[in-house]
Formats: sequence, structure tokens, C-alpha cells
Amino acid sequence: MRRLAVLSFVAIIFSTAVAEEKLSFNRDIRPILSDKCFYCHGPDKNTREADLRLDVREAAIEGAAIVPGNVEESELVFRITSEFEDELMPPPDSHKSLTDAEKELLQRWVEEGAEYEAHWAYLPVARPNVDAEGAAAIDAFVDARLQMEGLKRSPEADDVTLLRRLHFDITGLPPAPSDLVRFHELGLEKYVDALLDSPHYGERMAIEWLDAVRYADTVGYHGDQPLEVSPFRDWVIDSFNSNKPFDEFTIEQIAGDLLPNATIDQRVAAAFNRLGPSSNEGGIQDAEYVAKYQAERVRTTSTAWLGSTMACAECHDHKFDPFLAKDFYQFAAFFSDILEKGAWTGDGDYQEDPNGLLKSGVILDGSGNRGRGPMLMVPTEEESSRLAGLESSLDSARKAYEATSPEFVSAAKKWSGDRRGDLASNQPYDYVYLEDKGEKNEVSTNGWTFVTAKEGNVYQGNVARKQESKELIQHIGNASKKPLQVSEGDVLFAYVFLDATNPPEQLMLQFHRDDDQWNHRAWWGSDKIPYGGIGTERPSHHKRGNLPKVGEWVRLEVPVSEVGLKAGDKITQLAFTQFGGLVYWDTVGVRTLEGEYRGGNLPDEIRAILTKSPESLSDAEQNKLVEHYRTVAPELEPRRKEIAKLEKEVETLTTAIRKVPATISAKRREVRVLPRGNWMDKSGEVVHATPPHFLPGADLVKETEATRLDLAKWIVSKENPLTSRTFVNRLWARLFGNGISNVLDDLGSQGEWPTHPELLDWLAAEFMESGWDVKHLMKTIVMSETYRQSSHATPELLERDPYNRLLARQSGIRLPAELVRDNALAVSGLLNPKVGGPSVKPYQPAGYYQHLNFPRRTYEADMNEDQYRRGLYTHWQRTFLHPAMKAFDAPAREECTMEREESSTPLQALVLLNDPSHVEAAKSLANSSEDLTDLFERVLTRKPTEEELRVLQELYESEKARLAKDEAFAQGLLAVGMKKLSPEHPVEIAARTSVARAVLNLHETITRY
Amino acid sequence: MDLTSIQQQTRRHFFEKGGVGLGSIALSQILAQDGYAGGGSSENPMAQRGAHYGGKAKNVIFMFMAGGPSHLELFEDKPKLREFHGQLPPESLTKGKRFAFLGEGAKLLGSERKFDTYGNVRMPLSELLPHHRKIADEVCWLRGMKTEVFNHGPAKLFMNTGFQVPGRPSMGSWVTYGIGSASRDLPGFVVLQSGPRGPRGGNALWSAGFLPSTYQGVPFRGSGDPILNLNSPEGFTKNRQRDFVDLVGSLNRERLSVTGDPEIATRINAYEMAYRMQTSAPELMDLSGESQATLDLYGAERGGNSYANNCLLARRLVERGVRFVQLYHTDWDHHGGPGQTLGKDLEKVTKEVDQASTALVLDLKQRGLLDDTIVIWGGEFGRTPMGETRNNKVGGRDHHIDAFTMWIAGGGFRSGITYGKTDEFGYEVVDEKVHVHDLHATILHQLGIDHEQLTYRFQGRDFRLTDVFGNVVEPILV
Repeated sequence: MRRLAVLSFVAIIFSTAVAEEKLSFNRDIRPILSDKCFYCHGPDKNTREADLRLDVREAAIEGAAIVPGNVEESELVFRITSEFEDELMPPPDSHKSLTDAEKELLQRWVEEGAEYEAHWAYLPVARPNVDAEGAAAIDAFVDARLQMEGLKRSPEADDVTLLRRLHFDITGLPPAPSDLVRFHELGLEKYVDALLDSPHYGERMAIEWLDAVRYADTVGYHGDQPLEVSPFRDWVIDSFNSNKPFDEFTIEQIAGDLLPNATIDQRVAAAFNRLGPSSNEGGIQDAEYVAKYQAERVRTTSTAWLGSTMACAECHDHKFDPFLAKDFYQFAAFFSDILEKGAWTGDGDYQEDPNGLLKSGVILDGSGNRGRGPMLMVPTEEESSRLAGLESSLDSARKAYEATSPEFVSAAKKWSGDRRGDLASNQPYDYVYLEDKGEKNEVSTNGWTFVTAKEGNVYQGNVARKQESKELIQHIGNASKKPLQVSEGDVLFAYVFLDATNPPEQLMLQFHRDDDQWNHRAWWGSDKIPYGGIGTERPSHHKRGNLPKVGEWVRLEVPVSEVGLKAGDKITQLAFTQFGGLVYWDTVGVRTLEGEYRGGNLPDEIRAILTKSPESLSDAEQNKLVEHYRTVAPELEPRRKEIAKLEKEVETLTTAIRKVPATISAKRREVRVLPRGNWMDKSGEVVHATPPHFLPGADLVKETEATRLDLAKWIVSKENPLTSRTFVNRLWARLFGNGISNVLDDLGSQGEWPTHPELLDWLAAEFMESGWDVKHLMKTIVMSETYRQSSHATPELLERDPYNRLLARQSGIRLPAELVRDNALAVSGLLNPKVGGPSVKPYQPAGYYQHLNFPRRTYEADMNEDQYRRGLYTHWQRTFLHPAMKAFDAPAREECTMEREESSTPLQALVLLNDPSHVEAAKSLANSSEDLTDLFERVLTRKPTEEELRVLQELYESEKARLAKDEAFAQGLLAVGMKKLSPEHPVEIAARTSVARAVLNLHETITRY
Repeated sequence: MDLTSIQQQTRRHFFEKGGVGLGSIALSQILAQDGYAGGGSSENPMAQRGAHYGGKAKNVIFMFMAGGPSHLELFEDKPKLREFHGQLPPESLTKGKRFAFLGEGAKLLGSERKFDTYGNVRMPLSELLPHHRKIADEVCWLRGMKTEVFNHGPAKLFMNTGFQVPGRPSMGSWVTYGIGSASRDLPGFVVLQSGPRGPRGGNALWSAGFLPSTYQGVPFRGSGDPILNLNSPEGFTKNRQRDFVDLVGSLNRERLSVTGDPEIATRINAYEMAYRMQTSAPELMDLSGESQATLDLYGAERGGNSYANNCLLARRLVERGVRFVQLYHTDWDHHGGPGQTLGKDLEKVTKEVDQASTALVLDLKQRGLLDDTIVIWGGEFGRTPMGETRNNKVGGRDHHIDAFTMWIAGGGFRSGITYGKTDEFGYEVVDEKVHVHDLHATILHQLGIDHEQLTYRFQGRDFRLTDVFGNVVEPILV
């Protein structure tokens, strides 16, 4: 259904029509000029040759290329027919050439007066007159064309075929055999209504839309890490199910966040803007990636909604359509307000501080600088109310904590007095430098770990460090971000607890100074640790004594002078080292006279206040003392714990709540035209958000600072000729195998002149006039007789119209990847019909992710009912898409994809034959069917023919004979998949599983006819 | 309508869908070529087909050194760099240049590696590549390579697809799309991987992009099933698989006779190929038939899963008619941090690839396969003449796009020449520059494909492997 068809189709199919009527510029001439001439004589001034353009009639006449009505005088005719290579157009080195038929058409056109038409897709949508309504109108247009060709529509498909077609097209799930009865009872229209009302309708419709908006569960670039986006997918499903008008559907995706009083749903929809691939690879340039994301958004938005190839205008003016490079960047400017970084690393910058912009329900995911920033929480009702409850409890707990009674003030005064006393004292005191985990994200690793009093011995605080080995072992304690400054006469200390039954042979404390690094060590016990040199005695290897007593906490002391530290030195790291044994280490500090640490871990500000005389303190200073006391007051410890607990609960809940990348409008980035798309070239002009200059209604957006909302409204304005055409054409392609204009991502001049232009316009008008009613459009099309035809092609028809462009029949279409899976699960009774939710992980061959990095990860299939969810919920790993999805042509969604390829490959055969999902389906189908006829009918909705049944029966008998000889085979077969079967007659069920596997592998099973 | 004409229809159908470029040329040729006299079932999109013109080469093996090998430690002996070690590079070189990690003030780093020249070509090779000395006169040394982008992911995409963004077809996909593959039992484009992790960019590096998925690279795995889902589930024995595929085929044929749907014929053929792959892929991986001398030449081991094994498998693949084989070996990213030093870490990775890369050329030659096979060796970029400081030590180099070295052998490329010269620091190419697009154009040319004509329309534009660039580098061709 694709591409080359463009020209050859015109030439083949239209040959009869063309002979009689006057040529149409758009139908007959533009495709030739566009493909063969515009590259050098078209809209792009930079590649224009001989200053001649042929895309504008006046210019072509002025340049004497065309003299209307006069073939002899027209340079164009002379050039295309010349026998001399240096005169011939297109020139031989362009690798383009005109066929004789094309030359003849061009000559005839000049002869007929060389009339031009604006490109069809850019003309306003005008509802053509037709003597029929609804579905009948469709048939009228199709019939008119068939009549011209001397053809007739095929008869209506048989009921089974039609029923299956409706099911696959509307809900994507196969009918049960019993549905045939219901179909007969209800009649076509009511049955179609019922299917359109099914919650599975939205799932089926979502598949192609998710391709267009490049929806995936991972970021695409570099490590292709996961990114939570699934609420967006659910929003798409819900929107189709609730039949949200397509104009609202559009506005909410492009600018839902900008709507007044935007709902959570509308803000979820706006995640569209943030679904594109993004990178956190180390070393990338922020600005470069901002440029990449900006270009990607233009490509996706212009392709998905406008069926236009603005991508071509990123580097230069479009060669074939009137898009200028400036249009590309003006379009990009609509999105320049989106709060984001280019490099999602420590190097990237938001265009402004995000913290002021985070609206309610949005958190900032920085995860080690690699998160994707603003994430919108999408809570369930239950989560919402729990969150509200927690927040109100937290609120009251904080109020109670912050209450200031006179008693509290006097307690604070007493505390301040005590601290003043400490500071004024001239006695040495202990200053604790490291207690519990240090401030630099310390974590346990091999050989040592943090333990609580329950798990081991703790001197004070919450945890101690348990370190055990048979030989030399050590770890570095990352203490405060602030180094420890020592003074004259200071004594460093640490507490140790030596296990009585497994004491070490040696202990060592090591201190690190930045200028000479690890060169300050004291040790106890026997000389086994080589640091500083065994057998030496120096500050880098100083013996302090024998091993201390085992089985109790002992304080180790090290006078600073003995390990080469002098007043003013700063200790930046320390290491706990031992040789063998089991040791608990805890609480490191210094005994000192120095005033700086006196009074404990007082903030500098409080320390300063406390050194002033109490009488001189201002109210503000008094207040500061009270507020500081609040953070340490023992009587408030329960309150602090309560708040911490509630905060933790809020955090846990916040983590659990589903999220989606938030689109937040921030300060606009400056957007310039980038010459040749080069992000480093700052010579281009600065542009403002404006729709493409030549499109009708583009002048509706007048503001220089037009917003995404303006863009969205323009996209769905009645004046815009492209949006409705693009959508109905694509839907048509899904329902007939071909678009009416068959290049779905390009309605421009390089696309295809529609086979049924009036039908396309009628559908586009009907769609808009119905209030962008998608279900109405679906229903109108599937009710048409054209849709309901048999897809059987007579040999004559196959010869005459191999690609079914004239619609004298329906088309057989292979099921898309998701439906291949859905079908197997549904007919076998395994399908879990749940709609929506986080993405799921079906079985996948082991080791498929072995080359996926940053970080490395293993795939863990869901081993619960999520295993049997529909294909569209499959975890979409852009760079390692699930093999079954990939084999059946699902796109990686790195780019907007408007049309999937439809291939038929050996890898598909391997999936259907051997993927556990399909084997388990065969097993389940076998187990639930009554006999082979029933089995067959469950899969194909029809009864097998005699011959088919004979073949299957034969398979069944031979498998039974084989498996009876070795029941282990049968058991092995029945063991595939998560759901174990232990049937009464394992051999029979296993043999029937082979039959089921055969039926599930048939071409008919995965094809909608 | 009989089966023959149905098949003719599907085949036409396939090419019509397939695109604007070579497809149309191939279509007329293929229809003329076999005439369907025997009604043979060749509904195979991988069917071998004629090129634009007669090409010198049939197959390609691309040994991709992922991470960016340092040309300055391996192929470029630069005494000046040693002389100016520790000094700032001339501003003329660095002005306006950006690097992935280096900031301003990065200083020149002379290589500590010993070099000598080898072969009649007098190619400088460092002590790290002792085996390469044997092929000094067998390959064409491209010393003036140039690429566009200095981050791994995009740079790998660029070397493979001609574009920096994912979603475009890779070279192997373009080639098999253009001229199919001679192998009827194995995929036309096979990927083999080794090293501690996969290359950044993953599947996108061998993706068919917007081309039909038939043309995507198929990764063969060294352990487990060589191809995903290749093995039948437990309980289905192998000898039953033939009968089973026949049975599915007979049911499909039955339906074909009723409906006349040409796609059924294609489906039947796909099942046949799948069946053959089930036999031929394990046979391919089984090295028991290789002599000990051959294994020793490569340094491969039966049952192993190394780069050396992959090189040997590459030969076996082209022997079996597979059109395009790509090997990835990772861990060439020598910035100087732990595991990334130009010392022992570079030594480790060169040791892993030196012998086997060389052996592949020698083995192909002795078997008469080298003339038909283009063998390419290189990474996504080179490394900076300036040193990079990590952990307070200057032990590595940053990514460098302005000059690096690759080599290419067989397939009508001249052997025993060097092409490309860099300045005295190995910073810029001063003569005989080969841009990645030029390399692509030249490889396609040798396969008989005009890189400007092999196109496919997507998002309204005729895409090519070479974007809108690329020139065939005639001086390196025989």
C-alpha cells in the first residue's frame, strides 16, 4: 500500500480516464513536476537552477518555460524531448528521467493551456454534492469511480467474515462462536453500536494513535531507561471510549495544561509534548539536545495532525511543498515554553528555575540528575483521599509541633543557658564528628555493614559499623561535608567493640589530609597491616598500644601530634581498618579545647548568638534560639518522630502514585532559524510562534507570542484543510488496507493524488461537521456496502487492480502485532480483559536484554494475571522492543509513525511456533475445547472443511501415538507457561495442543479478511 | 489464476510497496530473470537481486570497535605530540571546538606506545597490535576518517545509519533491501556481539528503521538459542517440526486454493525459511567441523563466546551467502578512569581483537573469499590528542571526531596503501579525508549500488544511507 504506487498507479489506472477528459493539474501534472522538476525548479531558492521555478505558473511563463497553448514555443517541451544530453531535462546526472507517457502528459497539458491548481490538500475542505447520505454517500462515490472503470463492487462478505472483520476493526478482539447468533439477532447496525460501546474499542483505536504520538515506556537514547508514561496511554483509550470529539482530543494533547482550570486528565493529555526520546548520556551538549527535541516535536506534530512533512524544512526551504525553513522554526517556537533540559544530566539546565513553576500535584524527579524533571501525579480516587488525609494529619502534627507555650519558652531559655555555660567552659570536651551514617550517602558494601542494636552492638546513636574478615579489611567513613579541623593538644577518638570469640589481630585508624592524603595512621595489636610500612615507626605507621579488651565498648584515643597532624590541619576522610576478626566501630570525634566545636553540633548562627550576652539579644535572636531549641528539645522528640513518619508515608504514597511527565509552561527559549539545521550556528533570525505561512487560517494566530493553545486551536479550526483529511485518510487506510491518498504521512506534493478525492473531502467534511465525532465516522464507514464487500479477489480483479485502489472489493489485512497476541489469548480463554494500568511484561526470551546498558537490567516477566493482558499494554522498550512486537512490524516509536509496514517473515513464524505465549495459548485452547471441530471454530469462527478436519484429525492421531510412547513429552508440553495443567488425560490434551498450535499458526488466523 | 501468477502478483506487490529506489530496478530484473518457469516458490523478500551495476563485492563484514579506539595509541606515531607533551595545543586547532568531556586547558598527551613501520606500505603500528603486522600489505589503511558527532550513541547511529537520530535504516538493512541475500537458510543481515556489555544505541544500530522489518539485523547469540524463539518448546521434537511445518503448509495451501489470497503463498514460504533456520543456525554455530589450525589462527574455542569466535562465525556466515555481517566489540572508551586507561585496559581490549581481526582477513584470503567480501574495521570516532584527567591522573583521551583511523580490506579495495594524512598531532586530517558519508557511498558502490539511487520515501522525503552527501572514494579502489 505504499510509495512507489504513487506514480505508477496514476499512470496505470488513470490511463483510460485520461484519454477523454481534460487533464487535471493536481491529478496528472503536479506529481510529475514535483518528482522530476521541483528539486531544481521548485520552492527552495537555494537549489534553484537557472533562476527558473515551475511550481508557480507566472514564473514558469515569465521564464519562457511554458507558453500556454503553444507546444512549439515552450522551452519545457523542447527540453524534455531533446535528443541531446546537454539539453535534456531532467539532466542525466540527476538520476531522474521522464517516461514517454509522462512527456506526453506534459505536452498535452501545455497544449490545453497549462492551467495550474493549488495543491489539493491545501485547498479548503469543501463538501462535495452527492445524492445520498451517510454510508450510502460513500458507496455513491466509490460506485461512480467503478463505473468509470467499467467495474462493479464485489458481493457482500459472508457473515462469518464480516463479523470477524467488524470485531478486529472495532474492538480488536475476535468474536466467540456464539457471537454469530447475536449478530443475526441484533442486526448489523445494533451490533456495530454494541461493538463501539465496548471498552475494548478504545484499546483498538489507541494502537495507531500511540504510533503517531510516539508513545513508549522508555527514553530511547543511550541507556534507554524506563520513564513512566502509561497514564497517557490510558487517557487515549478513555478518550476514544468516551468519544471525546477529535478537536478536544487534539487541544488537550498539545495544550491541555494551558486550558483554564485544567483538570488532571487534561494535564495528563499534555504529556504528549514530552513523549519524544530524550537523553541523559554523559558529555552531551545541552543546547544540541534542546534543538533535537524541538525538531522532533515539529516532525511529530506536523506529521500526526497535518500529514505534512515539515521535517524537510529543518535544513532548507522545502523542495516540493511551500514550507520554508522559517516555517519550521516558527512552528518549533510554539513548543519553546516547555520546561525541560536538553541534557538530562548534571550538565543540563532548565530555561528557568523549575521550583517556582511546579503546580499542585507535580514533583521534580531529579534521580541523581538523570530523572526527567517535572512529573505529574495521577492518583486514583483512593490515593487522592489517602494523600489528602495524610496531608491534613501532617498539617495538624506540624501545628502542634510549632505551638509555643510559656513553658516551652522557659525550657528553651534553660537550654540556652546551659549551652552558654558549655561554650564558656575551659575544660576539654568531646566533639562527635561522625555518628551513624555520614552525610555523603554512605551505604553498606561487601565485608562491612551498618547494624542496629538489634542486629549487633551499637555504642550510641542508631547504628554502628560491623566489619568482619579473615584478612585485611577496611572502609572509608564519609563523614560530614565539613572537614574536621584539629587544634593543638587535640585527641582523636573512636569506639570499638571486639568480638570475644573472633577478635582481630590488628586495628588501625587512618586519617586523610587533602595535601598529603592517607599518611596519618595509628594502630593497636600486632604489626600486620602494611600501610606506612610494617616494622616502621612513624606518623604514617604509629603504634598506640596492644589490642584493647574484647567483648565491650572501648575508646581508642590518638593524640593528633603522634600521627603528624598539627593545629589547623583538616581531616577530610577517615578509614576503619582491621586485620581479620569481627569488630564493631562507632562514634568518631575529637577531645578538644578549641572553642569552635564547643557546645556540640551548633549551627554557626546559634553559636554566635550564644556567645553574646543574654541581655543584648534582640527579639529576633531570642526567637532563633527558641526555634533552634524546638529542633532538639527532648520533650518534642515524639512529635518530630510523628512528623517524620507522616512525611515518610507521604513520600511512599507519592512514589506509588502513577505519574506522567508534566508539561509545564515556562519562560520561552529563544528560537532561531538554524541554517542547515546546525544548532551551533547562531546566525539565523530569531522567530516567533506562527503556523506555516501559506496555509489558510494561518493569519488567525496574530499574536507574536502565540501559544501552544493557539496552535492547537488552529490545527482543529475549520479553515485548516489538513487535519481532518489526515485523520480520515488514515482511518480509511486501516479499514481498507490503503489510504484514499496512499502516503499517509504526506498529503503534500510528494504524496499521492487521492484515488477518490471527492470521497476524501466528503469524509473530511462529514467528520468536522459532525463535531469531530470519531465513533460517527467509524460507524458511517463500516456501515457502508463498500466496507462490507467480500475481500476475495477474482483473478481478473487481481490483474486489473492488484492493490485494490478502486475498491471493487475489501482487502485482506494481516493483524497488527498487538492483535496477533490478543487473538491467541482471547480464543484460548487466557485473555485478561482489564483496561488500562501500568505497562506489563509478557514472556520474553531470556537474555534478550543482555546488551542493554546504563544500567544493565534483566527482564522479569509478570508472573500474575498481568501476563495475559492485551498487546498494547506491553512494556515498550524503544531500543529492545519485545521480539514478538518487533517481528510483527510494530514500530519502535522513536519517531511519529503513521503507517506500519506489513511484512511476512520467518521470524514471525518462529514467534507463532515457539514463543511461550503462543504455546501456552495452544495448550489452554486444547484444554478448553470439546473436540477438534470446536477448537477450530473457536479460532476461526467457522467450521473446518472436511479436508481440514481430516488433516487435523490425522495430526491428532499421530501425535497421540507419539506421546503415548513417552509420556514425559506430553508432560513437558503441558508444563509450558505459567498456568500449569494436570489434565486427566495428559496424552490426549498434549496431542490436541499440537493441533491447536497448528491452527494458531494459520495465515487465516492472523488475517482479517 | 494459477499459483505462478499469484506469486508473480505478490512479488510485484512486494516491490511496489518496497519503495521508489532500487526496488523498481530490481523488480524488472527479477521478473525477467527467473520467468517463473518452474513455478518455484520464491516469495522471499530477501531474494538475491541485481544491483544498479556490476559490483566487485558481494558481502560485507564490519568489525565495529565500539567506544572509539585511540588512533594515537594504535596507528598514528606522532613524535611532535610527545615533544609537546604537557603543553596546550595550538589555539588554531581547538578554537571553536567542543568535546564531550574535555574543558579548556586540556594539554597534549604524547603516546607512551612504541611504534614501528611494517610491510611495503610502511604502515606505523604500535606494539599493541602485533598480529596486524601480518596484514599491513593486505588492507587499505584509512587514516583520514572524519565524523560529525562526539557522543557515543549518536556517533554509532551516524556510522551505521548516516544519521544521528534513531529510527533510520542501518547500512546492513539498506544493503539487503537493495540487493537481497544469497542465503536461503539464514537471515541476510546478522549481528554478533562481544565485550563486557552491548554497544550504546542497542537495536537501533541494526534497525531497519522505516524499511520493512524483514531487513533488520538479526542478532545471533552466543549462548541460548542463537536466534530468538528458534527452538521448539519442550515436548515438540525436532524431527516432528518438519511434519508440523508441512502440515501448516498444507492447511494454508488448502485455504489459498479457496481464497486465492497471494499473501498466503508468502506466508508458506516464510515458514519454510523458518524451518531451515532452525536447522542451519545451530549448524552455523557448531564449530566441530573447523580444524584446530583454523581455531588457533583466530584464537577461537569450540563452545566459546568471544570476539575470536565471532570472527570465525563471520567467515562461516559469508560462506553461507549471508550478505552483511556486523561484529560489535565493546570497551574501547579510554577516558582514563578505572577500567578506561590507555595502559592495561587498552592492552586488554587490543589483545582481545588483534589476532582474530587479522585472522579473518588471512582466512578469507586463503579460502578465496576476500575478493568478494568487504572487511571493515573501526569505531565511531577516534580520541583526542589532548589527555583527559580522571581521578587526578592523566590516563586517557576524550572522543575525537576530526581524525581517526579505520581499515578496509577485500571487495575490490586496494591493498597495501594508506589513504589520509593527519597533522603532526593527529588532530585534523590534512589530506585525503574520508567522511563517514564517503565511506558509506564507497561501500555501496563496491556492492554495485549507486548510493544516490538507493532511496526510500518516508515522511515525504526520499531518504538515503548517505543523506544528501557522500562521494565514492575512487583512489582507494582497485
